[in-house]
Parts: sequence; structure tokens; C-alpha cells
Amino acid sequence: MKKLVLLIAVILTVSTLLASCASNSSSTPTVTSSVTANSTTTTGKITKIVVGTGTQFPNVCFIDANGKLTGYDVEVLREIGKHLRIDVQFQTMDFSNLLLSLDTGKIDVVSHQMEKNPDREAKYLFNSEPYNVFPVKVTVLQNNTTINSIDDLKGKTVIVGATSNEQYLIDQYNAAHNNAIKVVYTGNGGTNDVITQLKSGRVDATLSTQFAVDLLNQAYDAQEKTVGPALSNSDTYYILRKDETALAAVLDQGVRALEADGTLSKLSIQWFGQDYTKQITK
Amino acid sequence: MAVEYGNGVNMGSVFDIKLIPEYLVKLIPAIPTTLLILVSALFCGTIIALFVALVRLYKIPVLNQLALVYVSFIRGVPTLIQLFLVFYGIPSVLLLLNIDISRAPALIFVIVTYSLGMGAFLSEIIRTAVNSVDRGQSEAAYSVGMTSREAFVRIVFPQALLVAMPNLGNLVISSMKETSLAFSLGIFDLVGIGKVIGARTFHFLEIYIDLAIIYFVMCFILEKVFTRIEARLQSRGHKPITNHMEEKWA
Repeated sequence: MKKLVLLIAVILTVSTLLASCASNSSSTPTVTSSVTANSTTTTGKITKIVVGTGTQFPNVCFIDANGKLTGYDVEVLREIGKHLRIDVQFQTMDFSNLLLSLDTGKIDVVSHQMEKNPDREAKYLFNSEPYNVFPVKVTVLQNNTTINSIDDLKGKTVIVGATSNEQYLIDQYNAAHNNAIKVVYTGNGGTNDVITQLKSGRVDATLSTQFAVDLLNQAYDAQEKTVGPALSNSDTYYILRKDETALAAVLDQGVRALEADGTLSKLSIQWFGQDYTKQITK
Repeated sequence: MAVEYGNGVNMGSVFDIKLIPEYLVKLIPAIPTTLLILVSALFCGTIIALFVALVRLYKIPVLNQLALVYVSFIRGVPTLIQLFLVFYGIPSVLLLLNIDISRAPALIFVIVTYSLGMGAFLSEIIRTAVNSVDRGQSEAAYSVGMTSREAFVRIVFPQALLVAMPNLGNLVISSMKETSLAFSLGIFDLVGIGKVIGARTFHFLEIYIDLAIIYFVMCFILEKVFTRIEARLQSRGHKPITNHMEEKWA
């Protein structure tokens, strides 16, 4: 009896030690969360920020084959950090938790190709300088000939990310058109395999943007195409809490610096295949 | 030039069976994280459970009611919701007391949540197992001159342990699978790494097959361990004298 208890205790202790040793040196991505809040020195200069982003958007924010968090959104902020000598730390989470984490102070900035809409503007602060364009269009499979605009989606099923701007756009349309479109969600609780769902016919369409469609077609044989006009004002911004005007100004400064020396265009070409920043409306 | 993603081989949604062993190797480094959560939750949960079980067994006035509410809450609220309440809710409440833990590592919140969950279920297991041992056993122990501590440790506990074993095994195994929710808080456990690889390569089906294999193997090993423990406890003659004397025991 005693030996059994001892054996169990030893097994538990050893496995805890092994597990904690292993997790310290494991190949988890290099994302850290800091214990102190958005820190400013006594002169009020911002020295460290925690950025919230996702891991499920290829080439925008994702984890590469070596376990490193990277992508357009991530690299732009890393460059801004270098320019302005700010320590930029990233915290990753499911997309639908980003705004909640911002609310509760777990992160200072949300960076995930976020677009402006009235609901978000009422609650959060957007910085002034957009860092990319994201014209949202209806997206279907290339062999689809029946859907050519959002009005053709009446009675069809559309998949969007929970809490995304795409969800907002569909909800607005449904509010004005008697809930004509059936909506399913990706993200926490849903699957992210939009491509499979489109191909299998489970959903008829999604909302996406041209650069995302192009990269998915090229890399994953997604066979998607965009149809119809852009459904929303297209620039993407960083989202902050309402009272963080100083941080917003700092980010604007950073974006302007990257535009001026061409880094923003370079990153756009590197991650999206062409320079979409030229289309930013100012 | 656009970035190279995935392995360039057979990209897209076409199922590729060769990827299953390839992704399996990539998922294995995440096993320590899952085990860490499970073992930490088990350890902290046991401490909580012992305390709660004692309170329930001795029916200490106010604490008993609190313990009942606690166990009810854990049983009634889905684990995912518990995770969010602990991760977002507790820091918000503590902010009212001017304590700011909103930047603490997510892993702490995950372990706290699973410890609370385990603690509740474990306390019920302990309580019912101890209750199921016949009162006559402790009375007999007292009559032979044992102190109440001796009676518990040497007579009641071994029998209770054998009664509790199957439930304990169930709890540990199902908790192992429950840790898969940790990714909702951004922890890179097995499911987390799986989704990350999936986002990069879009071969979700192969990854989920791999995850099923890994979880099954781990749970199978746990099952075997618990069966061995049960067998050894039984063979040492700790046949519990329970309140319901049945003809055959198990």
C-alpha cells in the first residue's frame, strides 16, 4: 500500500518535472504575454505594447513551419517597433476573442486586418492611418455562375468569421432584407476550413477580399473568385481602447514612416504578391 | 515574391494519407504542454478536493453550503464557459479591488480553471467513496483501540480508494481530453498546434486524424495504468466492506 502511494507520487512528480522542462524548451511559437500593462516611462513615452492577433489567416498572421509568428500584420508592427524603438509583443488568440481581450486590458492593440464599421467605431478607437486595403466582396467557387452579387445570396448559406466585419455586413443586409441570407460561422466553435465547405457545397459563398482569394487559389487550389462590387469602405486599421489616443498617434507615426521609406509597399509585395497599399484611400 | 507556405506537395484540400505520419511528428512536441495542464490540474485539484470533501463529510455549517454551490456550479457550467469566466471575468472583478492580473500568462488561468473543475468532481468521488465504506469498519477500528486518524488511514482509506478507483480513472481520462479546450485561451497544446498547422496548410482532416490517434493512445495508456492499479489494490485483499453487502464484489 505504502509502496503504491509512493510510486504514484513519484510518477506524478517526475512527469510534472518532465512536462515543465519540456514545455520550457519546446518549440512553441515565440509569442509571450507580459505581466505589466502597456508601460510608459515617467515622461509619458510608450515603450512597450502588447498586440493581439490571430494565427489562422495565412500570410496575414499565422505561424510558419518553424513555429514563428509571422505574416503581413505581424511584420508591419515589428517594423513599426524597430522604427520607433518600441518593444512590440504579440499575444495570439482566436479571432473572435480579440475585441474582448482588448476590452479587458489583456492587449493594447488589435491587428488583424480590421475594418471600420459603425458598431466598432462606437465602442473602440481606430488609428487614423490605414495600413492596408481590404475591399470585401462576395466570394464563391469559380464554377459558380448563379451568384454575382450580394442580392443573389438570398436563400443561400454564407460562412463568415464570428465577430468579423463580414459578419457585420451580412447582418446589416439581413436586417434590411428580412433575414434572407443564412449565416454560418467560423472560429471558436466552428471550423476554419472555408475552402472545404465551399467545395463540398455545404455553404454557397463567403465574404473575402481579392488578395486573400488570390493567395488561397495559388497556394491551396481554393478555386475561388470574387463577384460583384466592394461591399464596404476598404481600409484596414488598428483597433484600440477609446482612451488610448496617445498610442493611436504613435501607431500613425509608425505607419507613415513605413510608407515614406517604402517598407510598407515592400511588405505588401512580400506577403500578398503585389503592392495593395497603393490603393489605400486617404 | 510570395511566401512559400506548407510543404509545396499536394497542397489544397485533397486528402493526402502521407501527411498523417508527417504531421504526427510535428504534433508530438505539444504533448508535454497537454500533460503539464493535466498533471497541474490533478495536483491542485486534489488539494481543493480534499478540503471540499472534508467540509462535505463533516458537514461544517457555512462551508458546507459554499461547497455545495461550488460543486453544483462546476457541474452545471460548460468547461469552455468556465475558461472564459476565469480568463476574462476574474481579472475584471479583481480590478475593482485594484489588483491587475490581466497580463498574467494564459496558462495560469487554464490551470486554475481545470483545477477547480477537477477539484469539484474529485471531491464528490472522495466523499462518496468514503461514505460507502461501512460504518462498522471504523467502529471496529475504534474498538480495537485505534485513534480516529489511524482508523481512517489504515482501515477506511484503503477500502475507499478501491471503491474510488474506477471513477478516478474515468475522471483523469476525461480530463485529459478536456484539456483540448485550452486553445480557446491561446495555449498551444495539441489542438492548438494542430489548428496552427491547419491554418498554414489547410489539411485539416489529416491533422484531426493525427490528434485522434494521439489522444487515443494517451488515454489508452492511462486506462491500462488504472486497470493495473485497481488489480493490485484488489489482490492485496483490500476488499472493501461496503454498506450494501452484495454477494459478489465487482
